[in-house]
Amino acid sequence: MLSWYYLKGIIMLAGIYLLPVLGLSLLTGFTGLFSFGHAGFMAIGGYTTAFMMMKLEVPFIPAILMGGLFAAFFSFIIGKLTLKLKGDYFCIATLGFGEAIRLLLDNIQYFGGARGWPGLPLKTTLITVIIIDIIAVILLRNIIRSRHGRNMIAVREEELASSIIGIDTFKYKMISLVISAFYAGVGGGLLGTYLGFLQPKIFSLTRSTELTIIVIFGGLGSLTGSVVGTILLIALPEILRSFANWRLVVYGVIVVFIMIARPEGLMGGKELSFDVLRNLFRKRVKEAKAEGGK
Amino acid sequence: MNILQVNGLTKQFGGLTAVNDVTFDVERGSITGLIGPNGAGKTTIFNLVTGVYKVTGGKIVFDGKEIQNEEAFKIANMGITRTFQNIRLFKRLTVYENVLTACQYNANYSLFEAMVFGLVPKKIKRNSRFYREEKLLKEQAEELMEILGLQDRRNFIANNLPYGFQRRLEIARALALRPKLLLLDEPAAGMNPEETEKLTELIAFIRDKFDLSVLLIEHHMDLVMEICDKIVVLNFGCKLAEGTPKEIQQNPEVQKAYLGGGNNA
Ligand SMILES: Nc1ncnc2c1ncn2[C@@H]1O[C@H](COP(=O)(O)OP(=O)(O)OP(=O)(O)O)[C@@H](O)[C@H]1O
Ligand SMILES: [Mg+2]
Repeated sequence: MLSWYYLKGIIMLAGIYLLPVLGLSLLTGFTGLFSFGHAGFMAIGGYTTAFMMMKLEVPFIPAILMGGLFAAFFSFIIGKLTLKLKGDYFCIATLGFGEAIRLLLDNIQYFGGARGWPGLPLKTTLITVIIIDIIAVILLRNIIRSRHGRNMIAVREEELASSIIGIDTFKYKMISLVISAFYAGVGGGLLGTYLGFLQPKIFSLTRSTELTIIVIFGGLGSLTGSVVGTILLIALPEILRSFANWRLVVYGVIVVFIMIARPEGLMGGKELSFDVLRNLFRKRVKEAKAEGGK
Repeated sequence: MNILQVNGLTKQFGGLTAVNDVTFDVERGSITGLIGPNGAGKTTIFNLVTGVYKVTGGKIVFDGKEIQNEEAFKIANMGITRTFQNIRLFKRLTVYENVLTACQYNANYSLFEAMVFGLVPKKIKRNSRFYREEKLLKEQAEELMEILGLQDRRNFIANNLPYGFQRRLEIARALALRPKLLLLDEPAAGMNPEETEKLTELIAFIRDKFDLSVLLIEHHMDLVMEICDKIVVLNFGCKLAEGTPKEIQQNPEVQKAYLGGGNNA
């Protein structure tokens, strides 16, 4: 049934997708900006990493970081052009950007065009994924719990009030976007070196949408929500594979059901931390004692 | 010396002139009232001074610097901040989070420092600028909540606070910036006489405690007449009169346009 090899594959896939989801969690969940182009940042990261390793013989980790940086650079340009504009320009720009990157890659024969780019070195291991995930979560947590994170949340809550208390809203949207694209880029780099090939259609609009769905499903403004959401929504369809044709239906039903039952997402803006667990536990113990005392 | 000088200030929205060639000063350390009937252009002046709207014409000089073309967040950091007529809190955050977010005064630690020192053993952390400044900011937030009597409700979600406390919280958030000039847009709106009385005391108190100058829009005449050193009266975007509370009360034009109009609620 569930062989270790199979399970390991699912864990790695979820671990890799966790990175763009975390990035998007910062951007959408904590800063309030919606992006439908994060698959595009993944693509840039993936192809940059592959290019660095295959053509320039750059080692694995630096190559992945370069992928992240290059994605971040693109996001910076998009941000410069659209983050000062009112309304939904940013969202539409990311959507257009994601599709443009995919079409561009479809036509760059140097990278294999639409047929894809096979034969990439299989460098991504379970340990690498787990270590990078842990670092990624810790860094994001540190940002969110600092004044910089508070500024992002303020922008999400009430932009006008933010600027009136001295927050450079443009700057904080930009920082959030660039970090988020960096995460997506690194995720793309890991994905290519895990699958052993890259193909533009992996990074479709559907993929971008899926990332946003995971963030909303987990709960906007909750990192633990994003983690749990990723594990459930990436792993679930794989585990449901034995249902063959029915699996996507079941998947859809589960997502819809949870969104109806908990419209604020699984975690609803709350974090699951050791503190929370400890407090819950203490409360239980106290209650139990009180009961016993009666 | 004057902390704020508004000179020939004009704002047009399409064909409508909401503020028309208005000139007045706010003296340092004073409480200046800005009154006038509904739609007179009072809030628009606040929006111009704080950089929320771009001016159509005229000059705004704050502390000797022209600010009419500055961005809102820069004006805030120079020392002008405000509250809003239709309260704008960070609605889904707690009282404490609202105040803490606004506490940025003198905090300089970078994003990078936050990323590195956020989750390391206390021994290492303790010597970091991140830790020192965060501690200071949290102390500032506590102090502000204490002064404005918000401690008991620190964990309330802002949106669930009683109305009067929402107004207080907005003032606390504004004070976190250590402003030199505080603009209050109808702080007593929706308050009963007793609450209004308390607010009057509070405004005078924070002016002294924080060494502020205050520009105040208010329809409650008792409050205005009691604490303002000077009053500027607007009508249809134009300045109608300016003077001490007594002068304003006796000014026949003001009485005709505003005070005697019967709708000075
Ligand atoms: N953003 C805007 N666009 C168009 N017109 C506006 C805008 N803001 C204000 N106005 C108009 O400018 C005029 C002055 O409005 P303002 O809000 O400054 O009045 P006010 O003196 O604060 O009145 P109130 O006592 O009712 O708050 C009004 O006629 C209003 O409709
Ligand atoms: Mg008004």
